[in-house]
Amino acid sequence: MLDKYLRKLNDYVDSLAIFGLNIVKSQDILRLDELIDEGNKIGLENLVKELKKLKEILSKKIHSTEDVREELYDQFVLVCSYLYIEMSMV
Amino acid sequence: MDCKDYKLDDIKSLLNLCNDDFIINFANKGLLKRANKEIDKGVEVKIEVLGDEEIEIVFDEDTKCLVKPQINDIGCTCKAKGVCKHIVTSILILRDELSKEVVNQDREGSIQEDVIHNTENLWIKNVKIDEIVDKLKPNNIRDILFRLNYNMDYGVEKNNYKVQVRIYDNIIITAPFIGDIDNMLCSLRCDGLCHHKVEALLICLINENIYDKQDVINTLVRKFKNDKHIRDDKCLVDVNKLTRKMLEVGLARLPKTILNEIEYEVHRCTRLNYPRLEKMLKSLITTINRYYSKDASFSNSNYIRQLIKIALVTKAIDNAVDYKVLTDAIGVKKTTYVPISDLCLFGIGALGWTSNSNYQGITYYFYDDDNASLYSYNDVMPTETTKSNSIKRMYNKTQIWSLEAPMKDLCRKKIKIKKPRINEQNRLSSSNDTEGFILDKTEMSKLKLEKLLYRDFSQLIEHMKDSFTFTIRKKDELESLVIVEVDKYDEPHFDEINQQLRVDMYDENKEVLTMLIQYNEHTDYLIKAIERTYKNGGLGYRLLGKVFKYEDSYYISPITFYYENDQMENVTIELR
Repeated sequence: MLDKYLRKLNDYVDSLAIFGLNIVKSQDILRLDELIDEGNKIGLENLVKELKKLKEILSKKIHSTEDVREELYDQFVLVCSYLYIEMSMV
Repeated sequence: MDCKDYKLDDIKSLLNLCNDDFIINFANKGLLKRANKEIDKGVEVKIEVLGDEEIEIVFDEDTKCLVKPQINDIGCTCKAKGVCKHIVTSILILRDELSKEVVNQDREGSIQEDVIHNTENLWIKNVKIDEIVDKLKPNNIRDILFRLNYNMDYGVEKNNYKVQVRIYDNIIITAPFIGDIDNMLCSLRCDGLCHHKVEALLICLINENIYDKQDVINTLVRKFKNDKHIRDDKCLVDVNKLTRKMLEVGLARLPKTILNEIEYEVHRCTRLNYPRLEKMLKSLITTINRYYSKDASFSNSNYIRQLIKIALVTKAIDNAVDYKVLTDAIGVKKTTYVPISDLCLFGIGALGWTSNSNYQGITYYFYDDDNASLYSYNDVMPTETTKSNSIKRMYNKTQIWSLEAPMKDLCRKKIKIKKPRINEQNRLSSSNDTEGFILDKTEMSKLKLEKLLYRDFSQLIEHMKDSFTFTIRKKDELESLVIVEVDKYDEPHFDEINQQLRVDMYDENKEVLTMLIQYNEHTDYLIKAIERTYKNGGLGYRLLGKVFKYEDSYYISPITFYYENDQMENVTIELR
């Protein structure tokens, strides 16, 4: 189950990065919501905490401002790092 | 030489120091030869002692040398710049005078008192470590730290006049007791305070118990971390901006000019000495090129992982407090080899390989059974200058460490290596100083093979999980090398869809580990050979291989098979 969840999350971050963090659609946020719920059920506390922060930044409507973009980039790198660590330990 | 009214102790100390080697070191061979010729011709000079620390040698009206206790203070009035023939001649003449004086004193029955300096007041003892360490560049500091941490055997010799330190590659630093730091001589004839002299001074400070070795190491680490050249903010900020841009825009919308931007950062990283970032960015260019050329081997996940790793390494260089993390993030361009004590090693196998960067070679593996340590030796050649069968030729012809046996034999023998040199990854060098002696044949069945041999595959997987955790640390190439004892092999099966050969192997507890070989132009022969060997009587009871992770499972790629009669077969070379 954990393995399946991590793969799903990996696909999600892949799609965000391939199509660009600048263009985030409402569906992306909905998908993230689902991932947060699922992560909660599995008990991935740290990862979920970072995903929530990511959702918070993605929901901001001022993506064009430099500081939000920087915040988003840093948070994305952090989420990916957590994800890759979890994946490598499965 | 009339010196009755003056004490010339310091000048005598200098003259005692001035043997031919020392003179060649601060002048050169040619000048020494010319000076000796002058003396043989019977050059006439007038020697005048001007004071306790000054002797004037008058050659003629225009040419006078003033000899002082410190070598760098000796001057001449002739037109030549730096050390001239007259300075060397003066030293030789005074040296002869001094020896005559000693002989006369001996004849008169007087006891010759050597000029023994009070070693408690040596200038070396007053050297401020922070000041000398400031002269070192980050790379020098890394090298010195490596040698200090490896307990390299520095040859330190001391007499009444000088201390000599042999650092590495036979570089000798001479520190006369008289004078100061400027009087030190480096056998490479470096001007000023070179990094060799600093290293020798640090060794002296440790040897004389003026500083604790750990204090010296701490000072070097502190200096390394605070060096302004280590963290070039602008370059790191720009690389970070570049990765951010790529993630923000998304690969699908990135213009091809992004390749030029990455290339520019590659050059900057080369110039600023960030080898790891340089390599990672180059690899990113290859990946993006695959994307643009619609190459099937391109994977989204791999591309994003590369970007994230670049972002993390950039941050690590910028923020790392730990020396190991910082140096690992920076990486090394040229590996440093240090001399270590003699080794007794067992050759356990060899791997033939061809890289994507146009190199091919053989990695030989050696094992120290007493200390449970693995070592490797690499023989590499560019593919452009070699023929297809060059791996076998290298294997059959290459000889190292003054041994007459080719590597083909060496990789299955027990050998003693005198004066070996290794780098941080336990890779042995082919240094000319190193001497090897073949002792016996490697008898695998008699070796303990601690930390290397696994009879239980589940234990192996459990152990390997730690090695394959996502980390920005660069993996040690020997970390994934293991020997597994196989109870039974399944028949090799070629997966046509994924183009890979799979051989399931079982341990005594029926746990399975799969040998996996991905098909490509370089492994074509190996796949056929493994299938053939299986049919002709089976694969070895033990296998040396590299464990790797593929789609969340662990696999092993073969290097060497071991058979019951202590025979071994290096499959990537001998089955070619």
